[in-house]
Formats: sequence, structure tokens, C-alpha cells
Amino acid sequence: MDFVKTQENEFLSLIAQHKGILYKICKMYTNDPEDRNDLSQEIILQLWKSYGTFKAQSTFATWMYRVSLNVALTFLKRSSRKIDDGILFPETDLADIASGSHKEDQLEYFYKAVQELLPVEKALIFLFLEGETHHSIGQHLGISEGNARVKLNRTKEKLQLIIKKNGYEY
Amino acid sequence: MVMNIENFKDAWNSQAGENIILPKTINQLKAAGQPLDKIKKNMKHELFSQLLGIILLGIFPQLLKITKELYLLYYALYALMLLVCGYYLVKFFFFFKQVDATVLSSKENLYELYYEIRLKIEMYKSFAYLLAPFSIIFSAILIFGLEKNKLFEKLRNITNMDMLLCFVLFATIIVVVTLITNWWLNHFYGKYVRQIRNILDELREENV
Repeated sequence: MDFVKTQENEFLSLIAQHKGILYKICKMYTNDPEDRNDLSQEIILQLWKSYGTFKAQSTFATWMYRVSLNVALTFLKRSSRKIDDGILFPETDLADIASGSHKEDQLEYFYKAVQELLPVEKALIFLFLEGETHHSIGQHLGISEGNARVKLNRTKEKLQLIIKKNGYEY
Repeated sequence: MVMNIENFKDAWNSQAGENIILPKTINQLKAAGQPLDKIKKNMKHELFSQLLGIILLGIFPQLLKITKELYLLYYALYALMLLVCGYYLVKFFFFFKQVDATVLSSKENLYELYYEIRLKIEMYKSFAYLLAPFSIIFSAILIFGLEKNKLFEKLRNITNMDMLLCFVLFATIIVVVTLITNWWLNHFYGKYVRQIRNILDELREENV
């Protein structure tokens, strides 16, 4: 019993250290606060269930990417039961985005644009921004390094077009 | 100048997730957003109504007072149906208990999920199809066997035309059950298969 409690505390403290990953994935995959909360709970729960498979050979962050993205890819949103192709998220009016700091603005426009990407495209962009190599992105997603590179480049172009269409400039 | 994703890493790395409120214990978390969880939940709900149906079928002869001669036939079939149900319920139970495969690569994980769900849907279908003839025979026994109807005695003098009518009626019931089962599965479970199929299509390898 004590062992489980210690393990749970150790796990929760690791999650706390890496909660940035959780925040970013949830924000990329959901646009609704309730869904975001559901997804973060789902991810933590799946991470906990799989915690026994975590081997110290990989870093906790790398392992967390893998499990979290797998959960996010198949997550069913509560706010939108329509999960067939073309997932629609509640629109955020770009005019409503408060003009905060330069970084905050960039992030707001980025997350707004990301909602228009497909689930795998979101994973590609996430892994790229986390600094993963093409080889590692391919390993996470189960595709070849070459395909990871091609798909990532295409997604980056698509994302930039969306951002441009949304009118963000600096 | 349009925001360049390559120069965006500073802003990206500045997010530490301060807004996220983490649970103090795992027990505070609730799950329900994964296709398998949804399917398991749906199947569990259906399981309760199926179990209730099985129990009711077991006491119908007494409740409806059917001809005693039909008891043996009814309960022989009932025992056979229990065997079939037992087999499928055990299979479904193991499905509920299965360990998840979230540590695999996304593609492997999605394929596991995809085939797992497809397999369960097919199993569910065959279960429903197997139950259809049972329900027809049970209904026939219950209708013809009612003591007050005296229909059972009339069965000895059944004409070819009556036989044909019964056959058409049973065939129609089977077709309707098949159509309803397919619609039901497609409506409640097919969407998960399509969702996963779409993501797998996204991951398809291209010639580079």
C-alpha cells in the first residue's frame, strides 16, 4: 500500500515538473475549456496506467510525449460528439484576442491556427516545436524518417498559410 | 511579415503550464474520452439489459403458463442459449479487462485499437445473429404454447400454407434483426472505427 502511495507521489511530482507538455498538447487538441480539462485528466490517467512501462532509458518527457499524443489522437470531445472527418471547434474571434505581449499574441494566433490542422499534423508540429529530430518524430508516430520530414514540412507550410490567412503579422 | 514557425520556439518554450491544475491523487481523475472506454461503457450498459432479458426468458413459461409438454423443449433451448451467451459474455469481459497499448508508436497503437474495435464489432454482430433464431423459437413456443390459446394442439393439423407463412414471417424477422443490428453497430460503434481509420490514413507512408 505504502509502495503504491510512494509511486503515485513520485509520478505526480514528475507530472508537475512536465506539466508544460500537458498544457501544450491539451491546448493544441481542444479548443473548449471543458474538453481541455477532460483531455488532461485522460492523459494523466493513461500515463499512470502505463507508468509501469516507463523505463529510465528514455527521459520522462520522451515517454510522456508518446503516451500523451496517443491519447490526444483518439480523444473524443464532449462538446462536439461529431467526430467524423472535419472536426469543428468553437470559433474564437481573433479580434477578441487581447493584445498582450508579443509572445502571448504569437501563441494565441498559433493555437487558433492549429485548430484547423488534422490530428496527426498537430502531433508533427508539437514534436517539432519540442525540438525532436525527424528520426525521433518518425519513431513516435510510427512512420519513416523521410515521411516524417515530408509530412512535417507540408504541415509547417499549411500552418503558416492559415496564420497568414488569419491576418497575423509582426 | 507573417509569423514564422521556425522562429516561434521562444514563445513555445515560455509555456510552463501554470494554468493547469493537477490532481492531488489519482483517484480524483475520471476517464471517458477514449473510444475503447466509450465502447466498453456502451457494451456494459447493453450487457445489463441483455442479462435482464436472459433472466426474464427463464421465467416466461411460468409467468405466461405455457403447455407443460413444451417445457422440456423450451428449457433445452434455454440451456443452449445460456451456453452461447456465457461464451460471448466471457469474451466481452476479457475485452473490458484488456491492458491498453498507449506506449506503442502512434501508428501501432491506432492499428491495435482499430482491429480490436473491428473484432469486437464483428463478435457483437455474430452474438446478435446467433440470438435471433433463439428469440424466434422462444417467441413461437410462447405464442403457440399458451394453454388458453390451444394453438399447440392445432399444430398437428398445420397446412403447407401455414408453414409457408411461418417461414416468411421468420425470414422477415431475421432480415429486420440483421438490419437493426447493423444500423445499431454502425451508429454507436462505427464512428469510432471511422475516426481511427481517418487518423491512420493521415499516417500512411508516401514515396519520398
